Amino acid sequence: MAEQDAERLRAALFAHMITGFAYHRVVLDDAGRPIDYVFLEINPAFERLTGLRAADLIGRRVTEALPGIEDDPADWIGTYGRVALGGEPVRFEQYSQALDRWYNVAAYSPEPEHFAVTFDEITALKKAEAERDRLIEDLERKNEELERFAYTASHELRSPLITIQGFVDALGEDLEEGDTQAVGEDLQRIGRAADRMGTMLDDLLNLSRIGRLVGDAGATPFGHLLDEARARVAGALGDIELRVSGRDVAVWGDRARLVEVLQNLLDNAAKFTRHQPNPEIRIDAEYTEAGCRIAVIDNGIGLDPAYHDRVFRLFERLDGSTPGTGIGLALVKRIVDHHGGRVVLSSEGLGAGCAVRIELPSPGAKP
Amino acid sequence: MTPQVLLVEDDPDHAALTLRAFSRLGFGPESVTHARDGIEALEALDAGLRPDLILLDLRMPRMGGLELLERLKQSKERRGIPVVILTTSDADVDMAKAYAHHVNSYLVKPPRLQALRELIGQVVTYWLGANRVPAG
Repeated sequence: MAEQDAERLRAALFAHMITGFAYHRVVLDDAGRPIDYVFLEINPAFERLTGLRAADLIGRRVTEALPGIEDDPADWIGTYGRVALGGEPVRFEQYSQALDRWYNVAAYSPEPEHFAVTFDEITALKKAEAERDRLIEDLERKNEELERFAYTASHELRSPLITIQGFVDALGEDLEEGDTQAVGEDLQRIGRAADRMGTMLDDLLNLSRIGRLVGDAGATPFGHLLDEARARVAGALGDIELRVSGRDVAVWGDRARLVEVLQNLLDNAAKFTRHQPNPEIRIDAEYTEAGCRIAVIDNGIGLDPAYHDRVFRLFERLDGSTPGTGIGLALVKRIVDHHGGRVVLSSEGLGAGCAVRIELPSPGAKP
Repeated sequence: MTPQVLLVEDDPDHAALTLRAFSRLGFGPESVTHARDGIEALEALDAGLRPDLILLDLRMPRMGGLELLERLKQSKERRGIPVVILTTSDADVDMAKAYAHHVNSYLVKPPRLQALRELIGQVVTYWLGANRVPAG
């Protein structure tokens, strides 16, 4: 009677275990190497944790039940085979390709050529770990970016400051000497440097807000975005000829930010085209499989292919004689990045004009 | 013959301040040549300029100070010319890079004119007065 009770208890313990359990016999080839294993017994937790059913497994080989398991880099058959052939018990965490889940596994051998496995599923934990690692990496990258940003910004702002302080001193000297022409020039330099500093601070503030201020996305006809942008840079554009196509293309994104993108691209194109004969800027929008592509193509001074990546970096200015803070294209890139798009600049070289192409994804478009 | 200085500086205002400091020390336009970036500096050297000192800014369009420095120090004919960096950057990383490229001296632009003038005065005294380089 007591023995029957003990047997019932063992069966109940086995059936209600929250840890998955399975008992197997290893299959060896002629050389005695493990090449497969057969399921002899599994508990209900096994079924729950793997999604496999006892009826489909008992008495069958694992290569039949889970075809392809022999190619899983985890080498389940080899690992369990070594345990079954007298090896030490093992404990490990492993991803199963066949089941697309992570397990925390222990295996031991109670009798020759047999092995038992107990395991828990840890997929959610592993996913959380991966997510945590991704967040840490992202944070580290952003931190680095911020450090670089602060470093570069402080040095860029120091430059007009040196001009202001230097010429305030020069102004004092020129006043003492009664050199009124020099006094006028000193004041002009001070004024321009202060303006430059102001513009730089505005641009920097704008740039720093992008992460927070890319607002709700919606579809806007390209023509509307372009008209707004054109109005803002009308002065810079002057009488440069604009040739526009694709006004009806629906562009997906934060409208205000997309206008800023176009504004910066037009301003940039105008700056480097203005002094060319027959200046012209072509602006095209068209649908792509993933969304749309916007191109701003000018026949301006162009630039050496070696600099094509550099222009999107903060404070990079390739031409010291052209006005600008070196923030505009960095801003464009950041906005486009935030929209999940990409921006590419191409130019055949100096004198060959320049094309900036932006690809923006739209929801619902074919990926 | 008065010594020749090549000032490589993209910011026209900073160049004007440095030129002003030189001018008060008796180095007028005939002894200080101004190039606006590394490319212009190389063009001036190729055109026959033989400076006794090069004052070099770091961040410039087209060709920056480090690239020019590297080219100068790799050139057998030009590596003897003393190169002094004059920049707004006091970052260790910039200094380390400059010394890695064998710069002769690294100076940070002072904000006040008087301090700049004193610094340029010291540069002139040391690099154009005391320092010796092989002839030719």
